[in-house]
Amino acid sequence: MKKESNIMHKRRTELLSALARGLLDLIESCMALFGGGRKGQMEQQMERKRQGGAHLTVWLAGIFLTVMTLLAFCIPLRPIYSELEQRNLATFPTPTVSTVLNGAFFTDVSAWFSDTFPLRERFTKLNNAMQSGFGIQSTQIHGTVQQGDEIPTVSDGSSSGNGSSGAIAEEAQSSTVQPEQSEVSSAMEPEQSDVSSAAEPEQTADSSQTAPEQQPDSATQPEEEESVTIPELDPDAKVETLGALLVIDDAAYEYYNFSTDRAKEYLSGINRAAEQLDGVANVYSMIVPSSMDICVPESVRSGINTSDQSRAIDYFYSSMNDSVTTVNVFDILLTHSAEGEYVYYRTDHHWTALGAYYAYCEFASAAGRPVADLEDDFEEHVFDGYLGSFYRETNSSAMKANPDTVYAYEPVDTNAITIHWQDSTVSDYSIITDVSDWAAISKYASAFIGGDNPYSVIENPNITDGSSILLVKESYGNCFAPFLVESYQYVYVVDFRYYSDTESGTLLDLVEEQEIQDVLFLNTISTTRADNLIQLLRQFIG
Amino acid sequence: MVFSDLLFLFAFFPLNMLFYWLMPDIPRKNRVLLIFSLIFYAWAGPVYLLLLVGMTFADWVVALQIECCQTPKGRKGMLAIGCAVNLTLLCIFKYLTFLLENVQFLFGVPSELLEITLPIGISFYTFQLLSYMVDVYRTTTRAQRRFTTLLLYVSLFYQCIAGPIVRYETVERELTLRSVSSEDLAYGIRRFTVGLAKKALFANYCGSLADTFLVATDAANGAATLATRPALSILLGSICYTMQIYLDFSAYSDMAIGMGRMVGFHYLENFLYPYQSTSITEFWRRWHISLSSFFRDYLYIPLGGSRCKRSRIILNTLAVWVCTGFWHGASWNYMLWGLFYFAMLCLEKFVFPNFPERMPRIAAHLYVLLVVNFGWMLFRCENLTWLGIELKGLLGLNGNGFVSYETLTMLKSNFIFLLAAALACTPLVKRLGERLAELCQHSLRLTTVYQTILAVIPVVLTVVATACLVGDSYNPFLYFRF
Repeated sequence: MKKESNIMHKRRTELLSALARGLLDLIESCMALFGGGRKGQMEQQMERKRQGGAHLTVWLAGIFLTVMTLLAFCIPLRPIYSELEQRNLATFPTPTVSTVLNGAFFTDVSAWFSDTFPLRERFTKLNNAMQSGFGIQSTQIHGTVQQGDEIPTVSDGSSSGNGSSGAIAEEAQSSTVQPEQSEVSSAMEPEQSDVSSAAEPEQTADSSQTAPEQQPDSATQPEEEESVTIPELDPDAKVETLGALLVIDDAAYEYYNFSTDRAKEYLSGINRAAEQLDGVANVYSMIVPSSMDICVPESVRSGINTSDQSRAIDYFYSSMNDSVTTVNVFDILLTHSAEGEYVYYRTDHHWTALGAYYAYCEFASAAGRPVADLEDDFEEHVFDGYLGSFYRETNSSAMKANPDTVYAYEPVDTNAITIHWQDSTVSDYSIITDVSDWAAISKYASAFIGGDNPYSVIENPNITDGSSILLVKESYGNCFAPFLVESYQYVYVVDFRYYSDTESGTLLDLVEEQEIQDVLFLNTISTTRADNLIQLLRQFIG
Repeated sequence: MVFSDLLFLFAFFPLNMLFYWLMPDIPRKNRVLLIFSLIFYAWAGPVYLLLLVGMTFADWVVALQIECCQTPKGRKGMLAIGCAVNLTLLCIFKYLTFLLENVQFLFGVPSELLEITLPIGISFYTFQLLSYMVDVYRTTTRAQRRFTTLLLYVSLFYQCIAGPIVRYETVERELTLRSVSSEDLAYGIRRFTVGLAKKALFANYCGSLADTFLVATDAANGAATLATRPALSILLGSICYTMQIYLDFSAYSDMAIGMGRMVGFHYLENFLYPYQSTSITEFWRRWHISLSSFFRDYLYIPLGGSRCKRSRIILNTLAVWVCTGFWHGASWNYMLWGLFYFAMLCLEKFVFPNFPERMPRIAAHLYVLLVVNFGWMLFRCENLTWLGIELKGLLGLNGNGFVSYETLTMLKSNFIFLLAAALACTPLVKRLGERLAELCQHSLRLTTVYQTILAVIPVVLTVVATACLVGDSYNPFLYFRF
């Protein structure tokens, strides 16, 4: 024991003296490098300088490495959640015999180490700053662009080929978008790029991942749907994955690639709902385009490898059962956007509440319900500083410098909503929540009807005609729902992605139980090509 | 673990250096290196450590026996046994699955395929051991008496898993007798950090660009997406891949050489700016030198080399290129790639002797870049259908025209980066540095400035590389799988 402690002592002394020697050495070499060195020949002085330089290199690197290593081992400094990416970072793995033997444990340790590195956000920022200098223009493509399938021409007798409404839409687009062109194209001229793009080869709208047996042919075999195995949803999974993005300055637009197989699956779901609800409730369908076809000028968009959304929507609508009332909102959104109105966010893939209001007007007239007035029947709230999913995806500094503003419209009749939350609790909440103080990236998700929840109910105390509507939606429906309050006594909202997590039964059960009169399927066009979302929608329809 | 892992940079390596520094003499320093090397290797799966240690042990015994043997026959026999053991193990772990796949394709048996994971670095350390045994047989070097020293030579983490293939004779003396000056240390630090930045800043991003232009080879629906790409996209993608593979692999060699120098090992250069060659023959004298010289010294020359009939020379060359092709991977495209170079070299040597030399220099450069770029296209696609789509697309035969909006946008928004990456493949920066040193060497004050810059660069490069690596999941080493 004593011998051991002696050795330890000796070691420590050695270490300390070595350090002391080293420090003296560093000081000497600094003097050699920076000092004048009056004595000696030029050659000798040069040599001393070179020596001093080498010492300085070694010491600087040594000190830096030591500091970084100590920093890396400051476990409390390690972040556990990334605000920007909205995900929990990797955790330290628990070793098991098999993961240790096959090396998975060690791989996970490495992943944890770099994923949760202290000062993560600062380093990421530095990386973005560097990448913003990579190009000579600010327009960027983010992600891998996928080829869409050919959109079938509408076959309901209209011989125009593109479908009548599509042709109108295209006309409207080419005429009305003109004034905006100059603005965007000037933005696309070479200039110092502020936009960053990791250009990660991310897998986007997985149009080939379904096994063939999971694709029942069409609506002709609805009974097969029972056998479809629905993949369990990871509660942490990002349900809406973004496809490739076109980034122009401080705005991004999502690519849309039409997929024939997915379209058929989506349609068979809607048509099945129509069959089930035939004679029980009125079924409405609204497919909302993404900003790509509404806000990007035709001159730019025509060169882009993105499917024509207007044609796709026409195809969807023409392939739905006759009992489904379709609500085409493409043209109205296009018109208002062309007039310079703020109907889509620039930093987020959603439409704004204003865009949703115009769509609501179309829907309410189609459903024969009173159309509420935006100014008289709603109180406007403004929450600025919103940075959405496009920002999270691209880390764009141009977006950060010019965030979006969330306008929310609170129904004057009531702001009360009963929400069945994802954690299975039920409580009263507000339709519009003041999110002024919330994080910049969660304003849309939190401002409207408490975000994405399995099931919510709103009752308007001032309407007593017993009218009721069920809104089946994903997040696009969140800012739409408040408008329905002024047209119906009861508004039921179902987020089909989470419904089965906390509720039992299917669409028909819910409609019969609550004696619902109108059912509106409100989906963004991205949903119609997302396999997991379609499966969840069909699961809800039953 | 790879060198560009943050865990390696800010935990493994500093600890290794700390313990190394604390040890008073070479035997104990070697022990530190060995323990760290074994941990490094085991990080990818401890089971294969047994293979590494077992193979080294077998070859250690064989080499001692070769040296003990009195008769030439006995020596030859021992060498044959040693080579057979190494090559058999390499074949089982690297090529058996591929072989069975092909047998299954042709004859329908066996019905189920074995799934053998490729032990990391097996191609590299097997070749190191082979060179060691042959050198002992040729008496160019003496057999190592101590097993642990031989194990250190084979498993040393600087070069064990992705090269360079260090010859035993290169490091024999330094394994037991080496010293480090502060210049060595400073050089090693610079070399390592330059490699790190090359990898983290350039190679990774080039790779992600290649995957965007050319579609990632593991992308779902990838072939269909690839078929929609215009010619420019495929051209740019292949160029990005060409840059990625050089920057990636030479970065690894830079880091290995740098770390070796920090503890007193002097490894030979593995890359000499291959993309500035003016003939394919020259390219292969500059690309992965440790591999090509291995095949030259242990395959080509024993087969008779160039001192025989022309038909025999061609046969010898063919043998080298078949082996080079398959060494890079158990897949037909690597074979195709090897044969492509065989054809090109024969063209330069026999059909039109030395024709690149008679071209204008710029044309010769262009010729080499075209050939090499095409070679890497073969190299990238393990799937031959993909390759077909890619080549058709390059000629514009997929009906997508030459450019698309997406491709032009991607090009413009990465233009400066692509330019910088292209420059990083040339010796320009190195030459500028040398020029600066020359300019400064006549003034004491300028020397101070120059030396200070030199000292600050490694820190800056490491910060930049760390920024690229934090939270970035895309960080492969291409040659890792060979």
